[in-house]
Amino acid sequence: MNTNRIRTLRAPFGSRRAVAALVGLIACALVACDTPTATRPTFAYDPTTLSNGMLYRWANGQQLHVWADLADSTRAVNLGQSVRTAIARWNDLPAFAEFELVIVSNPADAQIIIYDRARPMPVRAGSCAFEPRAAVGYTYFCATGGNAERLALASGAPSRASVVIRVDDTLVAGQSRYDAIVAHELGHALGIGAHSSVAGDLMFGLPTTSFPTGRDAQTLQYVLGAPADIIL
Amino acid sequence: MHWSGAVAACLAATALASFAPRSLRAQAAVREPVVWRFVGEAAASVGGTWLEGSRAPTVRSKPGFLFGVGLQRGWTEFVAAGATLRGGIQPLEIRENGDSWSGGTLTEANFVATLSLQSRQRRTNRVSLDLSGGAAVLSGANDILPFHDAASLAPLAEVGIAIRRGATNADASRRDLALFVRYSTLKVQSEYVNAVTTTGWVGRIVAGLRVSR
Repeated sequence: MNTNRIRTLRAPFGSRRAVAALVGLIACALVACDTPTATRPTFAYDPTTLSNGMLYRWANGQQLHVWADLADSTRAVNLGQSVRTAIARWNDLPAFAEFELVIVSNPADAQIIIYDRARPMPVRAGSCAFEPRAAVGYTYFCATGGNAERLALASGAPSRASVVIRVDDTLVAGQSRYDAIVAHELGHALGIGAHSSVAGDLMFGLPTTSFPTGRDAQTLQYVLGAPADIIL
Repeated sequence: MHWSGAVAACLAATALASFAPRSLRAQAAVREPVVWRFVGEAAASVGGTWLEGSRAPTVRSKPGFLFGVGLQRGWTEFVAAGATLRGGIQPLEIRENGDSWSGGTLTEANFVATLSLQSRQRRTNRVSLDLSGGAAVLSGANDILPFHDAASLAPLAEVGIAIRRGATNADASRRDLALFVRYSTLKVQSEYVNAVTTTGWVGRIVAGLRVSR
């Protein structure tokens, strides 16, 4: 690839000057260039009003395994569809890979267990009272000290589960409302221990949407970065 | 980037210290043919704070690798210019409130044009100052800031130094080996609705081996 052109040349500098230039240019770059920054938002609504002022959440950076009892497929609403929808929507929100919800097939591997009232409870309650009463959706965990208790399976076998969600399809009118309830309860399971006062929010007491709103997302972002009183 | 008076003074001082005319002996004229060379490089990249904040996670790179191929043309015995296409990966780590977790792996491709200014020859080793500019495409790690919704093309600037051994710019028949270290900085811009982010520059140190022939 030679060419025959001839150039008259000059040595531009010595090696010591090359090092000086390198150091100088790097110093200039360090002075001139600011690192990108981020600030987590504050909450849109206080995420601890249902948990006695205690902020609870999962340790960041992990896959959260979810198991749903799908044994009864003859019902008018489909729990599996609601769970998949809710997981997809909540998984869109982490900005720093704080969690990823994943469906698993074995309840012993799950950290979050979801079932419908029509089915037997798949886990045993912990040392705290399990009181769903007539709620259309109910999220339960039991904290001792700074950590949630691991719940045994109904058979008595140990599990990784610390959160159980019960929904009641007899109290909802159709699949979309069922989707909304499951997504809402999953928001509680992720650390939002509160209800929004804005009717359009997913975390409103009687949700009509299965999409987390900007206010829900903002509150979850706050929760994920706040020091936790309870680790699930 | 804040181009303050201090920065301008810094650049001026660097230029004066590095590129002031040397003695007449050092500027002795020589005659050499102009050649093209193929270039291959393998390097490790260290550092890189992609995001930090007073109330947000810090996103940093762990050591990673870069590989590149390119072409270089020796304009004179002391000046060469070229272009290099590189690809590499860097694992990401996120830290917040004393916890740390993986941010996945960042995949990067970049294309840079480089001006290489070589020092006077001393024995068989020579030193060159490399100045580069180009753009990087960052992908992967899309579920974390600043890569979530980040601009796909990031401007890139580099300054480095290489210790070369082997052929001169004018000698195409011999292999040229160089150990290099460079400071690479690229501009990252990201907007995310639920976390206030600001544009900034991310700096990394890259060191490796370059072979050209």
